[in-house]
Amino acid sequence: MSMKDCKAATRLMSKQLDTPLTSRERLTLRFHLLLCGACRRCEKQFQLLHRAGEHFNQAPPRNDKNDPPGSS
Amino acid sequence: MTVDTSDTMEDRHAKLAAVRPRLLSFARLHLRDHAAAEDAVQEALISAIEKNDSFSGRSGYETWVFGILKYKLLDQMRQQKRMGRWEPFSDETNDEAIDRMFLQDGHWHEASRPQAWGDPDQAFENEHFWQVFDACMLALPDNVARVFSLRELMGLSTEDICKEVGIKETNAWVILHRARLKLRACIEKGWLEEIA
Repeated sequence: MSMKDCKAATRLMSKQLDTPLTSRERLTLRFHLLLCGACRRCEKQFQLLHRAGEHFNQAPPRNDKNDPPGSS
Repeated sequence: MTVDTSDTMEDRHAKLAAVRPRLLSFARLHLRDHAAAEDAVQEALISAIEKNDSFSGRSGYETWVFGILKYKLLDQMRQQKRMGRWEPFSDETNDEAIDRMFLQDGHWHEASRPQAWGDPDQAFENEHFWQVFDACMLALPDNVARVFSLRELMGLSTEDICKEVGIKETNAWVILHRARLKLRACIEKGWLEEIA
């Protein structure tokens, strides 16, 4: 991936919300973000969307016997 | 933690009435069908009343009710899928709306470059943010919205989503990437315009 490629960077900033990135992926993304203000904003906004669900439905604490599906 | 014993039945009924619009919005985003969402919420409310004694008080009452609704929604989604009401998930990798966000060289297209949104935590306190969020979710293609809802609203891992939906994990990541780009762009358009 070219370090200038914003589209590929958005794939990585999305993927890191679902599964750990490889070291190479992480470094590639971090380096791109050093250079690109638009992608830094995009990453923050993806993270906000990631947290929206928790705020939407008041995620329960762990170990509650009424835990909804998907709680760790 | 102390069990919450301060609520009367009247208190809980009032909480159910107050949280119902949010439950309905949540259900609609998953089921993509207003009538089915109404039914699911109604069943969840009845279940909450019937199971009132099993509320332990260790999480908030509204959170407990959302948990009941989540199980009902998962059941409904499984039924929808079994009855063939979902379009097949395609493995196509091309998405023109997303391609148009970027130039040939992969840079952001000028009109699509992300703008600053201000304080993220203030967004969640803003009713208009949620109105725009809901509208943008409903505007997503159904299958894209389903995967995003299961991941971010239901809280499933991508591994669990793949079991529920019958897709590969790499495809789940592609769909989620698409959902996030489209939602981000739609919310920016709908929300910042109001603020400006």
